[in-house]
Amino acid sequence: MTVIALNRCYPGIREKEAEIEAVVGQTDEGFEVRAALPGVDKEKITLFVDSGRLVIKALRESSFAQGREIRRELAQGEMKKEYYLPESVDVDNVSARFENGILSVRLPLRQQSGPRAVSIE
Amino acid sequence: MKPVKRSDEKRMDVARRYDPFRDFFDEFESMFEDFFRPGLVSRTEDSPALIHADIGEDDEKYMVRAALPGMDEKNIKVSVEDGVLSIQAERKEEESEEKKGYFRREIGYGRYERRFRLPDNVNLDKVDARYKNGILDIDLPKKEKGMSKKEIKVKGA
Repeated sequence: MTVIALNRCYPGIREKEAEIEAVVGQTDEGFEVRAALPGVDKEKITLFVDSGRLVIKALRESSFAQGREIRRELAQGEMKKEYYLPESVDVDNVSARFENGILSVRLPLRQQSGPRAVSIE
Repeated sequence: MKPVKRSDEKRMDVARRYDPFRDFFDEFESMFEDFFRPGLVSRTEDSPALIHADIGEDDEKYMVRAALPGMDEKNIKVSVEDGVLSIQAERKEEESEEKKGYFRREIGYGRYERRFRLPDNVNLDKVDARYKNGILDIDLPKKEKGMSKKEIKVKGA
């Protein structure tokens, strides 16, 4: 089965935002993006789909609401991941689920209709 | 998770400057460096991937917040032995996910590990761990002052 690294095609991620770690795989119905967002509140995740683009943005707060941080290894603040979508993705039917720190975005493909006869008026 | 982005390096240095874990921690870590590889994608099947974590403290406790996205808490093991806190996790194959085998491989199917050498003042009897939203929270209460002090009576011959 193929894993398509769409992320490698996109160089335009701004330096100041941490890049969200994610993978893209192919499913029966299309593509699925799985993004690792451990410790992020669901309310702090935004997902945009517009013409040919999928944008995942998230805000991760400090791990420590109280006390002081003595070592940091996890990304904090604004995080982002952006993909160009193939035209075949059915953007009206994109759905997403957030569970155990993993955001799964399902990107079904449009139903392939064969050549269609067009009536001439 | 990637531990540090280039833009975070400065902040990281600041955070490290007053790190009481550092001496223990880094010495121990370097022993394992050859076995653990950071990064979820490029590692081989056999070697466990490195778990990344934030560490904090307040007056009562040390806090470890380890990133383990998409785990089942049943497959996470936390133990303390000889002053070393060890976290081990495994993402197991599940039948319902069979169709998504390629994801498991890519986002990190397999084993994860991390060890931290603990400061002496941790009360090991009260270590507490919870898994929620992809993060393993471990609280390590500090011993109350005087608890680690014990007077030894000197006996005569």
